[in-house]
Amino acid sequence: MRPGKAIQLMVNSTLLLFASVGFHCSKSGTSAGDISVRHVWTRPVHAYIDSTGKALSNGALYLTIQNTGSTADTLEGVSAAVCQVSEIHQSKMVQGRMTMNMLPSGLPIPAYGEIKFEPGSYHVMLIGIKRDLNAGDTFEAQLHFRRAGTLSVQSQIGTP
Amino acid sequence: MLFASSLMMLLAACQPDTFRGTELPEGLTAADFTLTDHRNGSFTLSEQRGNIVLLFFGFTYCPDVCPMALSNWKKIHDGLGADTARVKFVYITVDPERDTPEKLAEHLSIFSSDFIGLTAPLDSLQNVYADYGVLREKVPVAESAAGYLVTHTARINIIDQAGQWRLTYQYDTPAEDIIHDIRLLLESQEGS
Repeated sequence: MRPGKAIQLMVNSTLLLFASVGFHCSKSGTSAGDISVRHVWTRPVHAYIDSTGKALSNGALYLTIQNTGSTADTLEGVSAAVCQVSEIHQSKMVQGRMTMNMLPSGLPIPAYGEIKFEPGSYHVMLIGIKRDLNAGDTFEAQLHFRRAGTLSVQSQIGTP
Repeated sequence: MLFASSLMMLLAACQPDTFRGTELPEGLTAADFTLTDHRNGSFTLSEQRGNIVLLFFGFTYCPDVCPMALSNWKKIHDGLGADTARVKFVYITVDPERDTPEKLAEHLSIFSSDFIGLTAPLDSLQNVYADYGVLREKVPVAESAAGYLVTHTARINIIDQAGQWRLTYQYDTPAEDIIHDIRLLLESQEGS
């Protein structure tokens, strides 16, 4: 086994341990420490795979993150097995044009604050979706916070 | 008091209904174009006379705003009921490099089989962008797996049955407002 693979496995195992021990999931949302997440959803997507096998469809993950603590946290990244890469982006209207920027350092979640990922604003860009995301189904994603650690969430597939 | 409020209601009912979108100057003929559709056929705007055309410029690689506009279109499409047969929903790509007819077909089918996707070589599309005031820029994003993104004007346009460019809206205008305006255009044609 390559060293990189072994480290990745160790990280995954640690995250799994955290997910099973430290976090609480409920029907209305998911929480870890001072961070809670709710209203996680994605629009349906047809996975388009080209003749070379490359997955070319994208989607967006939307959610609301609440920080009830007195210390700010940061959403540093997101991972999801349904796509090849997940990135934190922001859409913004600038001088009549819609622009989209990547937030490579993540997004701060202020103390006692709430951040909404919603259409036309912050979203997690799901790049290279590997399978159809059909309305009514769900998929799992992991949110990686600097302080709170990793939270597993279930995204509903549909329109709000 | 009752008389006054009844009179107010009567006066309001007598007012002609007005468009909710931004109206363009009268007599603005929509510039014609011929592009390749998502079935690899040819699509010419001027051949759509007699129908209302909804026009949006977007790209299938866009995960957020463009699907939001298409979701809105689906609400309009379904909300129009039988009248939807008199409306063409036309989506022109701002990313011809990645948006092949096949990719457009796959993407649009999620929303409606009635939606028409159009593409062409960038040189041809540049003229269409200019004619409809679309500002489009390919923006490399080195740190992103997307490679590049496309900044673009995100407005929904309406071309009437006579080929006049009549109305324009923000991409997130409520579907009810656009349905209202489409019905006004359809009624005005029936009345003429």
